[in-house]
Amino acid sequence: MDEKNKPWLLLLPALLVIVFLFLGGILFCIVQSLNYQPIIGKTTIDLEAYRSIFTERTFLVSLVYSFYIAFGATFLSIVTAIIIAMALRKTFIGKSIAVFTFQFPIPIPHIVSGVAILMLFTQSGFISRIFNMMGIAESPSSFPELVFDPMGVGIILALLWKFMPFIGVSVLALLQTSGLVYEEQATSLGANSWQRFRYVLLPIMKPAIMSTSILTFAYGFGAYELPFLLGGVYPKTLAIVAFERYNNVDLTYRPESMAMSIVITIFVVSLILLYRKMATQNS
Amino acid sequence: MACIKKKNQNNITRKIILVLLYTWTFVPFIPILIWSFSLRWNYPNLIPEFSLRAWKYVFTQKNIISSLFSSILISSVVTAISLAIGLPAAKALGMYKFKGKKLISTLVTLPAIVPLLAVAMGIQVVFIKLGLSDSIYGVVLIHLVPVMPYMIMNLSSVYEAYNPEFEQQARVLGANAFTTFYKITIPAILPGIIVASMFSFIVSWSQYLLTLIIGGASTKTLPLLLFAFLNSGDYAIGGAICIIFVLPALILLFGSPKYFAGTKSVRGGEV
Repeated sequence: MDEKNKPWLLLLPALLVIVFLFLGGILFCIVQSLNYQPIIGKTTIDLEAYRSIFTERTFLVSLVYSFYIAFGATFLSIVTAIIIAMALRKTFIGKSIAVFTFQFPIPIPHIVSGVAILMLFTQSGFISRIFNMMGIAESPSSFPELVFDPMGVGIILALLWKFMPFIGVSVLALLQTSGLVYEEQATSLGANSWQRFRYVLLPIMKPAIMSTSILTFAYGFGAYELPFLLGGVYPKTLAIVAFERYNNVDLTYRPESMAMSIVITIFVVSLILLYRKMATQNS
Repeated sequence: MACIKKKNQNNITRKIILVLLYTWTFVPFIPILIWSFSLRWNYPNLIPEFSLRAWKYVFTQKNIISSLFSSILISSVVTAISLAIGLPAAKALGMYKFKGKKLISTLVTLPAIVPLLAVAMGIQVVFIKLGLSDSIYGVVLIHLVPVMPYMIMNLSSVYEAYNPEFEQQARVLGANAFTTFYKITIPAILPGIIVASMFSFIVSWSQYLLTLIIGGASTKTLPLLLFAFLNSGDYAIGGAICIIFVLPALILLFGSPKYFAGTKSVRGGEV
C-alpha cells in the first residue's frame, strides 16, 4: 500500500459522510434558499428569499436577539470560568472533588439545563418560592420575570450552566501547567498579583478561551432547544423563527426558512474563519 | 505578616467561590428530582404532595418505554458506525503528517461547531426522495453528522499519545499483524475508545431538533417525549423522564474518573 496515500484511504469513509451529509445538506439548503423549485418548473435561481427576510422586521429583530443571547452567554461564561479556574488552580484539600464538580455539567445534555432553569427560575418556580418563604416576594408576580421574558435571562442562565465549565476546564488545564511555571517566575521578578494576572496568566489563558468561546457563541447563536423551552413569545431566536417558517403549511415560506438557516451558517463559519485568522496572526 | 494575611484572604475567597460552585452545579437537580415524586406541587409550597404516579407511568407506559428503546438503539448504532469510521480517520490525523492535513482537520471538526439546522433542512428533500425521511435510518444518518467530529477529535488525542514503537517491537519479536493489533494496540487505546464512545453516545442521545426534522412522526426519541410533557405542563412526568435522560451522562461522569480527573495527563508522558 502506498504510504503516501494511506492516510487518505483511512480518512475516506469519514470524508464521505462529511461531504455527502454535512456539505451536501448545506448545499441543498443553499439551493432551496435560492428559490430553485424544479417541481413547479422553476429552474432559475434568485435572491428573493434573502431580500424578503432582510427587509422583514421579525427576522432582523431575531438576528439581533440571537446575537445578544450568544454574546451574553459567552461573555458571562468567560468571566465566571476565569474566576473559578483562578480559584482552583493551586493545590488544596478537596481539590479533586472541586474540579470534578467544575466539569460536571460538560456531558450533561443541555436540555436538562433548560429543564432545571424552567423549574427554578419561573415566577412560580423553586427560587421564587424560597423568596416567598423568606418574605421577600409575596406572590409569583413579585418575582422578576426571568423565563419567557424578552431579555432571555433564563436562556442565558441555561447556556451559562452548560458552557462555563467547558471554557473553565480548558483554562484551568493551562493555568495548572504553563500558568504556574510563569507565575512563579513573575513573582520572583517582583510582579504583584494584578500584574501577574494581567500580563502573565491572561495571555496564557487566551488560546483556551478563544477556542472554547467560539464554540459557545456558535451554539448560543444557532440554539433552538433552550430558547424554545425557556423563551417568550417575542422576540424569538433565529433558529426558532427559521424552523417555524419551515413548518408553515404554506410552502412558499420554505425558501425563506432555508435562507435564514444559511444566514446562521454563514455567520458561524465567518466567525470560525475570523478566529483562525486571529489565531495564526498571534502565534 | 502581610503575606499570611493575603493567603487567608485568598483561602476565604476560594471557599466562597467553592460554595457557590457546588450550589450552582448541583442545585438544578433538586427540583427535577422533587417534581418526579410529585402529584401536585403548587406555589408557594416547597414540598410537594408526594406520589409515585410519575415513576409508575414512566416504567409502565408503552410510549415512554418505546421512545427509551428508540433512543438507546439509535445512539448505539450511531456510536458503532462513528467508531468504525472514526477510528481510521483519527489514526490518519493522529499519526500521519500529510499535505492538506490542516484543512481536513478543520473540515472534520466543523459539524461540531456549525449549527446543523441548515444541514437537516437541506438534506430533508434528499432523504424524502430516498425514503430515509420519517424513518429510523434517516435519523441514524443525520446523527452521524454531529457525532463524528466528537468521535474523531476524542480518538485523535488517543492516537497522538500512542507510541507506535510498541507495535514495531512486537513485529520484530515475531508477532503477526493480527496478534499485534489484538495484544498491543487495542489494550493501549481501549480506554480512549470507551470514553470517546460514551461521549459520542451522549451527543446522539441529546439530539432534539435533528431527530424532529428528519424523524418525522414515526421516530420518537426520549428528548422529543420530554419536550412534549414539559410543553403540556406535566413537570412530574417531565422530571422523571429527565432523570432517566441524564443517566448516560452520570455513568460517564462517575464511571471514568481517570479521564476526568487528569484531563491532560492521560497523554502518555506529557505533563
